[in-house]
Amino acid sequence: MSELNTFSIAAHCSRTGQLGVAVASAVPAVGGLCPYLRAGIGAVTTQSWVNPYLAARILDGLAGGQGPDAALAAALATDDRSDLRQLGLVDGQGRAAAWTGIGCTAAAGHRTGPGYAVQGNMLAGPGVLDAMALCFEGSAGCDLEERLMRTLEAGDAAGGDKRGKQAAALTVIAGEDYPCLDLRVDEHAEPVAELRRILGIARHQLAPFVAGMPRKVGPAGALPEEVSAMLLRPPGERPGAAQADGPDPRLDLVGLPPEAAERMAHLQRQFAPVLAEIRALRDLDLAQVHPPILFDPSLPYRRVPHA
Amino acid sequence: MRDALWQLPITELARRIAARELSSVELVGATLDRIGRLDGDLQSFVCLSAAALDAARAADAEIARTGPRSPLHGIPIGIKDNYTTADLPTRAGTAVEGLTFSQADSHAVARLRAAGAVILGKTRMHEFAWGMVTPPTRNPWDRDRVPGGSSGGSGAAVAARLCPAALGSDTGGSIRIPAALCGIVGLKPTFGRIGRSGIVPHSWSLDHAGPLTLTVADAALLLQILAGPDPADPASAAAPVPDYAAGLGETLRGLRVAVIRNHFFDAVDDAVAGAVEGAIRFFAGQGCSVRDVAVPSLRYGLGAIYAIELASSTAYHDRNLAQGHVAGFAADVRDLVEMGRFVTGPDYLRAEQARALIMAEMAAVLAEADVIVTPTAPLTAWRADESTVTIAGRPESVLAASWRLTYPFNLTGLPAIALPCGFDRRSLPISLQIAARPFAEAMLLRFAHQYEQAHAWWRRVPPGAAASEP
Repeated sequence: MSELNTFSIAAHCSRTGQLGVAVASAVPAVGGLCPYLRAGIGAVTTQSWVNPYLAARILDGLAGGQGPDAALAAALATDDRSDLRQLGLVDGQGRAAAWTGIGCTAAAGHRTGPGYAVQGNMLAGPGVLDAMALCFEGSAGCDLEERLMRTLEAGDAAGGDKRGKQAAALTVIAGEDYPCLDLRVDEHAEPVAELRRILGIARHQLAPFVAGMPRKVGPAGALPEEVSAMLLRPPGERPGAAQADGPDPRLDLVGLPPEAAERMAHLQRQFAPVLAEIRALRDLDLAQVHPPILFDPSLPYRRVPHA
Repeated sequence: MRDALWQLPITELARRIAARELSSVELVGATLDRIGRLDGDLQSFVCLSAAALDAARAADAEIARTGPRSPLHGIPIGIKDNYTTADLPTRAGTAVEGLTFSQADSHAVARLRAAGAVILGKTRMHEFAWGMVTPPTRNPWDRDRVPGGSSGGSGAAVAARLCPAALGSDTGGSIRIPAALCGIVGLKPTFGRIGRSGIVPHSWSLDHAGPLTLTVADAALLLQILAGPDPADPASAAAPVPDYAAGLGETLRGLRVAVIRNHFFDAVDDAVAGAVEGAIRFFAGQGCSVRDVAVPSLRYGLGAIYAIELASSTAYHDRNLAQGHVAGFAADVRDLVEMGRFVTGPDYLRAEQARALIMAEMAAVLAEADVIVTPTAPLTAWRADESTVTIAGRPESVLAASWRLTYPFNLTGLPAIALPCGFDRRSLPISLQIAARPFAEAMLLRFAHQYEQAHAWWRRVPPGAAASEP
């Protein structure tokens, strides 16, 4: 049994019903230790002095009809050192619960809200959890994987684990008994940034493959031809490979979020007629023309903000 | 509605209220009743105020005691859904639930309430005032056609006589285009004339607030209430507010009309061109001098407004981009908000420089003229399923055509009014646009009023609107 000093989120997507966990820590291979997910039932992360059996008992409790609080309490009742454990969970309806034992290393704590639980221990400060909760709540328009990634990035940016960083992981499960996304950075100097990089590649090269895998219900079938053709090419020649070597300069230059990469070609087609008009402006000699934009240093002294 | 109240402009409703021949409760009640019967089909309102009848009762009590505060006292007004309101939700046309807006009255709504107007409800708009069709609102003249946009709900509601006036906002034509396509009056005053604080921003240096009404005199009446300083809008102007109704009846004799023959008459539908030439002949007949002129720099207008509008809108929506909310926008609006990132900083400033060229050439025209007369739109209302039309033998996207003649006055900030000037062979309204020097609203209102008095196109009622009255 090892102590994992960690920050993490367990969350549910109300649009798709997906469940997911994202976790980062200064312990290697954290993705193999903390997250436990069961499709439609719940997502649990077990951390601090990890007791994996608690996660399994909670999922059994949820599957048996218990609510998140009851399932968490029943599991903790089986553990004689619950003071050393930290757990966060959501059920298949997005109801959350969390536990931080008093023996967890400070700063330690958790926050729960509709659809999520964020928790951590040995943190740089309590602001890490607030930043994570705020980020998750503010990204409702995104897919669950993106929300989890951003929440981990927000925790990382707010200080994360006070010993530094070593590993990170992101797992999402949809309707099948296997995850639709399961990414791990087991040992890296910047694990959260590395996880973001791998996510960019996985979106292009892994998601179409998993989408074509056999399902519980219906014929198993074969992989769509274009997906197998894509995977027969060397990794460096597949879609998404450009970002693999660093930030996409096109996105970086214009400041669009990474998920816009897939929309770049579409947006550029839409922009083409606009660009043609703007090009006409570039041909003008306007050096002597002052634009009708006048800087007014008195503005803050006369403006009354609207209520 | 008793005595066909629904057909009356505000000037007549106000007279009856002041003479105690009509109560606000009677008027507001009849208006809500009409909306209940007709708007299921038109979809011009997104919500109605539960407090409207209470406000009408309060107005009646006060009018009985001390007389009306203003000609708007007790008059029901519709509000475009990008004006924030204290007692009604604001959605600015977006379905993204994570986005919320202030629950305080915007400056313009506060002014209406202070004048005694009854806030009736919020009218439908194209999401974040991007776009010119306002789905799912329908055009009262032909339900298969669009009402224009982005203030399409305001245009359809006033045209169908569901309310006597509504507020709109205009960044590239969003008041004047629905006014044109729905056959009513739409006034975009000078930039800064009406304070915009509390209106969800679209593009700071192009956004204007203004009214949509049945008549020019009603537009003057609303402008009187709405014009003036707004301490929370840095662009609001301190210019004095004249009496806009005072000069409406004055002769046009000796005044000068300029007709900009390039740009505004390139590719205009034959029926539209015919009606506008008729209006120009009318002004000549009134004793105006008419001169054809050219503004060559309008060649750069589209590039300039694209760069300014896209860059500004994207800057405003940056937080929504970062937080992923734009993924929930309608596809057309999401594209626009994301592609604004492709406008570079230097391109934006070049657009502002090009804008200065157009402003200077327009100023030169208006040094020799009192008004500029143009069509408002080169076409009449198009079918909701049409994306391209052929105008004067040239194919053009309806979106490109719709704002071609209105955006020059957003770039220049000049006051411009749209008013009906005829109907095409499908009985769809045609619209005339009149623009003037900065803060010369009284001048363009005078021209528009004289034309309206001689033609009275505004008395023509859309087919469904009249037939439904018991």
